Amino acid sequence: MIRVDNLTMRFGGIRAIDDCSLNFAAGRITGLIGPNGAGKSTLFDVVAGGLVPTAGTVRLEGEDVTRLPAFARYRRGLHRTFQIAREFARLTVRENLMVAARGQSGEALAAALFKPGHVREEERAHRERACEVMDFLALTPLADAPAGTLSGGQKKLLELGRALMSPARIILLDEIGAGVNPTLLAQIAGHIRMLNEEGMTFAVIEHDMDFIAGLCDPVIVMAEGRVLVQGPMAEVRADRAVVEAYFGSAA
Amino acid sequence: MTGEMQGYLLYALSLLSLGGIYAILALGLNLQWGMAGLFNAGIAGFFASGAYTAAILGTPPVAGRLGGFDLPMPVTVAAAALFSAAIGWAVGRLCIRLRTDYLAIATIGIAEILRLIVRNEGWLTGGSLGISGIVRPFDGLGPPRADIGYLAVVLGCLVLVYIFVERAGRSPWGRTMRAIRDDERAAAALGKDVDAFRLQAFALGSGIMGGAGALTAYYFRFLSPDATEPLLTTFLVWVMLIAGGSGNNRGAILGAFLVWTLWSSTELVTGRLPADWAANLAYLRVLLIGLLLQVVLQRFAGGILPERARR
Ligand SMILES: Nc1ncnc2c1ncn2[C@@H]1O[C@H](COP(=O)(O)OP(=O)(O)OP(=O)(O)O)[C@@H](O)[C@H]1O
Ligand SMILES: [Mg+2]
Repeated sequence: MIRVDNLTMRFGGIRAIDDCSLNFAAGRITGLIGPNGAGKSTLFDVVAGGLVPTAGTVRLEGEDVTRLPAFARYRRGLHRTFQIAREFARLTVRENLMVAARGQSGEALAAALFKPGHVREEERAHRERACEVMDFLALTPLADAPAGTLSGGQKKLLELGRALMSPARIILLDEIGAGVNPTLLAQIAGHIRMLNEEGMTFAVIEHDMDFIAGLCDPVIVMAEGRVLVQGPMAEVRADRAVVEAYFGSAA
Repeated sequence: MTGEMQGYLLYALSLLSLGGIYAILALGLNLQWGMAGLFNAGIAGFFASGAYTAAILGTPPVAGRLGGFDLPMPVTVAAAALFSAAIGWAVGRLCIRLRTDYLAIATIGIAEILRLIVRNEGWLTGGSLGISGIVRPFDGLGPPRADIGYLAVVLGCLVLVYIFVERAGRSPWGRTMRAIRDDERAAAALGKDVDAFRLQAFALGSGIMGGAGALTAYYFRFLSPDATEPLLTTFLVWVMLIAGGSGNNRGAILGAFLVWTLWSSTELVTGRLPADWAANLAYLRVLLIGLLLQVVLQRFAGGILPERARR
């Protein structure tokens, strides 16, 4: 589905990603773990088109998209969430969701001005979908509040909500669980599993091992910009190198 | 009607006509800044290019200057808006990717270039002599009917522009534009072609400013290079939008009428000052308007009518 080959991303002297090759297989929920600063979020940035890598290639369903802008990758079915929520602060929660919907012919100015039937129809559908998403994420009471006024956890939920607005082929989730209450997080995991069964591919960054263990197969462990180990969670957990990378001791 | 009464009436008509033109300018800037987050510091340039387009196309022939097309006002105003939009589009193609502060500098530069062209290319613009002989529609009726007629033209244009920016702003197009304003990286990650959207907002806003320039040329029946001075356009229009409420079209209109009324009335005050102060009048007025803006923003941080959440 997505493969990166010999990827390097340098920031000045730092190699955030260092000659890294990996692959998010179609139809799977791939977990991505590793210590702080391992390069996980940077990898998502490069895959989604937020950054152009120093070297290496990114392929989306076989197509080389290394130099394709972010918006064009989205249109090919990729969706990514941001670790630090990037809400549209002066738009309402509802608008934040609706703006993320795929298929908006009302974004063309002429259609927007004259509002032909199909634009209204689409808007109605997106509005309904936004209501469902807000219900699921317990954001309904805040539907008309500017997103900038949400709490940190609510902003993370909104970040996830935008990913749920329309079906994507592959969704990259960057620590959506951080700051979210455990009950809701369990429901979110259930929802991800359901979408996956319907055929959607996921890559999930999370520090919570139990969350990853319950949801992901395979799991990729990154450290210092490279893949340390990959495989099923049970194997990864038993790996000596992983234990050292995580706990910094030869436990 | 007594002479004095007619004097007041004409003053009120003038205030409303120019206020209406400023309201159109403020709506154009609100489209660029309030909705799309584009910092245009060269309003004077887009305003003047519209004004000169209309004057050149709308006047009878004059020896030694391009023009003499004598076209009717609806045509010249539309052409002015199109021409300024085209300039805005060209400037946008070059500069829209720049960060806000660089875009501001680039637009100042463009406005300065246009100012020099207007001053120096006499074959095109009449140079320092300017362009006279611009005839308003309804001028045959004589005052005050002609002035009432022209006020109706200005307010009609204002209503049209208002409906346009409101409809566009409420649509998915406007929603996406505001999303880009709030966070362009997140918008790009949601499939929005950020540059293409910004370019549209910049060109449309510039076109609206050009239309306002054309209305001004007709209002004064005369156009001089003073039209390119940034004080009366760039500076005042920014104050109007910020005081009225950036992101809110009604706020932009309210701010325009309010600030223009105050600006005009400071003339009454400064007119009574001793003559040797006269040279400093312009600065004094700027200072007063600056103070006003301070006071408004102390009381209303987002302007008098701030941007509202949309349901
Ligand atoms: N824009 C940037 N400029 C400079 N350095 C950066 C930039 N983005 C990331 N880095 C550096 O790259 C390294 C990897 O960062 P990254 O955010 O990918 O880590 P991460 O694995 O997501 O960590 P965490 O689990 O804490 O989120 C860090 O050392 C970080 O300082
Ligand atoms: Mg990270």
